[in-house]
Amino acid sequence: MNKIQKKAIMRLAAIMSLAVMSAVILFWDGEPQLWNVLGDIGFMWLFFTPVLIDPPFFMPFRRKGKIVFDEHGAKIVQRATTQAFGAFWYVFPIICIGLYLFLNAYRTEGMGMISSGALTIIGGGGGILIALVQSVSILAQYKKGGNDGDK
Amino acid sequence: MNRQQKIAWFNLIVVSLALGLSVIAFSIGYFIFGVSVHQASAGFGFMGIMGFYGLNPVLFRKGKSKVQFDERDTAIQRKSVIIAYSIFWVLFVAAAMIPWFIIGPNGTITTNYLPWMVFGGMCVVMLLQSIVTLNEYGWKGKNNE
Repeated sequence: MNKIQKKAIMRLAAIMSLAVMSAVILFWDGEPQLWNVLGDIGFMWLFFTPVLIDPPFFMPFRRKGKIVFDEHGAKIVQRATTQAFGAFWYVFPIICIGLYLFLNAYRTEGMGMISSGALTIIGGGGGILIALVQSVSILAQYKKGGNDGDK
Repeated sequence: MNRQQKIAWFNLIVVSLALGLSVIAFSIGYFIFGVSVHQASAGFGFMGIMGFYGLNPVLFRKGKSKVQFDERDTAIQRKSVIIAYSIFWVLFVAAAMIPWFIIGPNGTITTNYLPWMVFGGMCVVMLLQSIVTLNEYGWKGKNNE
């Protein structure tokens, strides 16, 4: 299993733990403040674990002198990213226009308002959707190709 | 001029025309006729011109007998998409987060903001992708057949 696959698995694990944590807190307590804190922890987990797997050049514990990313891996990541943004452009307009129509035309007859917190959820949700689709696509492509990417 | 450049020019003209006419119509309504912002925003109906973007596959058909897309074109297209989406992503996150900082976590904002995020995002991606593509090929004087 190579670094790309490890990163994808870590992202999936982060998203799943984020979803489970949020669901547990929502149903168990319903306290928004606590929910926000746990959500932030989930986001940190989501975005910082890939950095630990593949540290940037300035980190001392980065493994040197080894090819960890070849043309095959680059092609897979490129395709996964394209699919992720493709999925984003299906979901994002549907959510935004759907909310607009529902809140503006149906619920409040032209005077619809939305909470600023909901906008941040749309922004964060976009990031999570892209990470999710990209991770699933990377793992599926490696599995389909019959190559475990053992670098 | 190859197919990619023609498409980039067409998209650039469509987006510029839609944005330009919308801003002009809004400005005329608001500054010259003195109508309210809500009424003047009807000028943004010109954004419908962006619908011509959907004519790309019809207007610029792929030829059957000729190689029209090589490695260089692929690299240029990739670069343009990466730049466009990188800038789009920064703007998207800013559009989602800035209202929260300005009006606070308990504040509300009109739902008209949501379609603006979608169409604004589309405009940014189309505009930047076209500009980067044309810049990579060279704006004029080069025959990239």
